[in-house]
Amino acid sequence: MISNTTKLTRENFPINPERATLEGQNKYLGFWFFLCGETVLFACLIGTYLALKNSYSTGLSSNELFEYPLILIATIFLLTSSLTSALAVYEMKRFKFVNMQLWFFITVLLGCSFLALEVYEFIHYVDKGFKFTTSPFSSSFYTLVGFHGAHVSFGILWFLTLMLRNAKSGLSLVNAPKYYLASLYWHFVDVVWVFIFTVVYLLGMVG
Amino acid sequence: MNDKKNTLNKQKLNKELKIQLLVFIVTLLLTVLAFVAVASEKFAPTFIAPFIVTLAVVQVIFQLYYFMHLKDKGNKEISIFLYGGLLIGVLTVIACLFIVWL
Amino acid sequence: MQLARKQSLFKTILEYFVTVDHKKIGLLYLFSGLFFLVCGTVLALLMRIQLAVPENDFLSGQTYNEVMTMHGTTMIFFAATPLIFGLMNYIVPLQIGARDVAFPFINALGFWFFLFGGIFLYSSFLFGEVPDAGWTAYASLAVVSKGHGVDFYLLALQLSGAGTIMSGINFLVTIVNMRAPGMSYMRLPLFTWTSFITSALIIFAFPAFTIGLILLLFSRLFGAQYFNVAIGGNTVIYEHLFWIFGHPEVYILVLPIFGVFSEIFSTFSKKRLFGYNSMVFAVILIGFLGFMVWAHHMFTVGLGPFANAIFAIATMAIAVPTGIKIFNWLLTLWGGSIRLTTPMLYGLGFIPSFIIGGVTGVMTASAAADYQFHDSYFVVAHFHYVIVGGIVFGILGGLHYWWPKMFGYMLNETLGKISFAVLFVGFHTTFFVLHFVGLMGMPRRYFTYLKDQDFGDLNYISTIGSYILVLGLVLIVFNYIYSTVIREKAVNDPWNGRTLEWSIPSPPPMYNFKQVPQVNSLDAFWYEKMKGNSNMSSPDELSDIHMPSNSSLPFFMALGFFIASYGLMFLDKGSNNIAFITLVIGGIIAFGSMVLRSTIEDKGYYITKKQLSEEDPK
Repeated sequence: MISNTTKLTRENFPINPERATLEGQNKYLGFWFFLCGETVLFACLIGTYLALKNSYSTGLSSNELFEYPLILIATIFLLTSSLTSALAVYEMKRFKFVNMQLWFFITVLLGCSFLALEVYEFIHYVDKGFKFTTSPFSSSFYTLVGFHGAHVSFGILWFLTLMLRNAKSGLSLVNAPKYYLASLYWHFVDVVWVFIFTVVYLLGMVG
Repeated sequence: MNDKKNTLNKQKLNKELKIQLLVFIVTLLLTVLAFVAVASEKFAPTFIAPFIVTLAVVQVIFQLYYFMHLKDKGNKEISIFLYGGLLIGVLTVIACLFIVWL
Repeated sequence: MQLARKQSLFKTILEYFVTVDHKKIGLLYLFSGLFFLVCGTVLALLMRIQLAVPENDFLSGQTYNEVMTMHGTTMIFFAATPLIFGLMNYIVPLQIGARDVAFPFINALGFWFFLFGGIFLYSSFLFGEVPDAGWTAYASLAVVSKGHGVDFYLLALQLSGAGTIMSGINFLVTIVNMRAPGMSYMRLPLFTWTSFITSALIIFAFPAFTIGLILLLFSRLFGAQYFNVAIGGNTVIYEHLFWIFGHPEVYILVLPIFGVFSEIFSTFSKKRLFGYNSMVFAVILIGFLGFMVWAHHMFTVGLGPFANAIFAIATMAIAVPTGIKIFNWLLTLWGGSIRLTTPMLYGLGFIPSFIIGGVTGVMTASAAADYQFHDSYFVVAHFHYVIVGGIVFGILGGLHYWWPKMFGYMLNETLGKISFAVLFVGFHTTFFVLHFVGLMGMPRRYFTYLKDQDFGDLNYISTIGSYILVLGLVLIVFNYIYSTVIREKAVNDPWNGRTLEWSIPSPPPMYNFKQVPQVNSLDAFWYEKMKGNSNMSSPDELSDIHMPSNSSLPFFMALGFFIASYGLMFLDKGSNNIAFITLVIGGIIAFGSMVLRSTIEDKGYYITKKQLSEEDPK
């Protein structure tokens, strides 16, 4: 283990900087436990959605509603951002701070594009008369996808805060776990989207 | 000694990077495959639903083990808890699907 | 340390506002828990007075609904939970040989979220719009409930639920990462084990509740249609979500109590806990099965015979690990040199009371019979036997057991025994008769009953019992005050204990362990005592101790969300902007303190070796 006073260089930087200190290990473990809880959270939302998916009342049904090309593009944005955040962590482990910041910045850009497409999608649906209060289906759809969108927004804010906060100070064993956890969170959000894409959009096409 | 460890670490990192790139490509392919399978409208819903859910599960496993490093050592507790969470999640979804007076 | 004793009252209070020390936070939990316990008890008495005689008009129907809802919500979320968290916070780090929890800051944050949640709930009395849909707040009733009562319930539980999840994660990481050298999983004291499983249940159960509450909140505030049955909504979803949380919640509360009594039984029998391994196994199994049985609360919903049968069998299966525990406790007592101290009396009272609660539980687990029991006073009797006879006994026994460790003075034994006896008699008088009232057909949650229904006599007995029960509680509080005044000094190890917390001074210094102890066995301290050592040895030299610095940010973060909740709730009163402004102000305080938290680097401080050696015992 490296003491706090040692100057970090490319040579002595540990291969797992996120778990090099006890504090880092605690954060790593705690954040994973949080994600385990989030799994249940999203499962409940997905369950609610599936139970209400055919209750479209007088509103539009999933068959008539979704804009598939748009969603496929959004999905690819998010999947790619997952890779770029992994690349950022790769640069972090090599102690290349600027490269890491750059990859995280690209991740944020991709995340923003995803979010923009989602907002556009929602506005489009509302224009079609598919409002939050239209039917049990619409309420549960907006709740599930909106919850995910909120997670994406939070992830973007988290990345930006970290990048701004540490822009001058560079990489250390104090902020390495924070960057790592943010990327972990980002992967998790991506995982959830894979399910939402499958269960909401693709199965919606099947009817 | 330190140098040797360093090069080893670098090799390990580069190998990991290659795997991650590969996983990414596979993930994209699987996504497109699922999309095409549904969009072609050639398959019966009874086949397509389990098929695309399986594809999603495969993708998620890739993400968990290669991007989120669940495969690394020292993640025993995490795995137990994650599978616990998944189990409860699956139960919840099953309950919402089958025992809500549908 | 010397300085600490002389400071003014104001400074002490201030210190508790900014503390991140797990022991102080434990005490904050315990005392706010006791406060809410008193509130909940007063509400219970109001209900018993109303029900003492038929066709009583002491409370109106609406008031009765409000009192009943507040009683249930308070007791589960704001009395039992914090009291248990208080014990866990104080004792778990001491039992595993840690200097603090893994996340001291988040620990404090969790507490303030809980406390503001409780204050938020009780502020509903000031607004005159009190939650009235029962502690379960089932969807259709809760959605149409008039006024803002149910909003208070939803937001209060959202706040305190967030705090609970934080604490759950904190305990988990603490127990996984912060154990002393040699403290393997199979050497953890049973209280720590049960706290571990409880925390695991928390992180899986509370998210389901969060979603349930959010769905209700969106339905009430923004007109979401999930529960609008007329256009295809479905209220059974809410019941599922609530009970996927609600059933594990029962185990969240009772498992640590199993741990408390395991400690008490082995200490006062002067024996190693019988079947330690099977005890651990049983706890894990109960935790696991706890998630598989939620629909037994919904037998009468009409889920169909197939679902009912599965959940009935799964529920009965839980009796097996619970039975293992009961037998292990009895066999721990067997042949031990038993000391009948007050904590031990609570333990001995707990076993039969809890068994009665367990047996009625298995009775209600039978789906066919449950159609008779459901929503009758039989169920009320059942869960009060589990909660009062199990959880409350456990908390009071545990408090008496650990009190000398927490405060450095003993509780009076004679008063303790008398108060236990009164409590025990009062408890059984109150709730035993309710079984029969229920079997005779009296439904729960009704505010009165008719003269010719023959419920009068038994209800009158129950009300008398509740007065005795309250007398017992008053005696216990009196004992706390009396013993504080008398201050009979406690030694480090007053009960001849077995686990690590007894190896350090009472009350413990802020850094708990001067040197991190080396653990060589289960019942680590007992093992060293048997080898003739009076202290734990340590693998490390005496060195500087790193401590986290105090912070007022947890308080302000929780305060921000507390204020914002009022704004959110009254958003529908659109004619003026006060609600919106409140929401914004709360948000600024909350997120502002978050920004401060992430920009100010907390380096902590060190207690130096010199300070440590100067503090040696006189």
